[in-house]
Amino acid sequence: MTENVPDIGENAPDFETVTSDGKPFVLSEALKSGHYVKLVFYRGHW
Amino acid sequence: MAEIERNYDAYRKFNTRVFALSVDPVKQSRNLAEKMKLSFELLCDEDKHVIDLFDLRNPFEHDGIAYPATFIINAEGKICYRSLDGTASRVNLTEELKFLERLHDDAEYKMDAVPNKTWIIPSLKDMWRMSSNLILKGNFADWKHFLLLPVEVFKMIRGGRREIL
Repeated sequence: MTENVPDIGENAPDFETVTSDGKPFVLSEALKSGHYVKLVFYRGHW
Repeated sequence: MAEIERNYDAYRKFNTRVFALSVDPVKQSRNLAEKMKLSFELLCDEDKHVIDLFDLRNPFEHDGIAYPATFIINAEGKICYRSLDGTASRVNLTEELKFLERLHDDAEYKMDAVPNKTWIIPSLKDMWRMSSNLILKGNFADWKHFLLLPVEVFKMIRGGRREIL
């Protein structure tokens, strides 16, 4: 895989998507609260 | 996911919000969140633009799902922890929580986790899940994992198995 996966020390690419409640999610907005964000990519249910 | 849920209080303690992303549609993710009573939010990347943005699309499985991976991002948007897990369907959170504990004292601390190969062999629980998927959904994409079943049984007999899920 995956030569262009963002590395540590780099800025995480900002993105917009939806939550399972159907609400919009923007990474930069989630970070505004001053929290750390743990972002997990999982395989899903398929 | 169950492992994250069990450690949810620890993440809160370390000022960390958890979001888990997959390419599952909203409805499927909502069902999963309800079934597992998850305290953290699931993100739905149905058009796969986020996994492409992070270059984590695995095109060889199920028409493109995410490679398992974890990032911890600080308030400035910088990545301070990364774990790329390859084909493993779960990770060891102990190391990650230790990292957060250190980050708590030293905001400049960074870590690139080395994938732990022992987690790559699926547990019997994984086998069961894959079998049910196979039977219920006719999904043969994970046939290769079945080949590892004898290895798993051997490990159980040896008594070296750590139950993780």
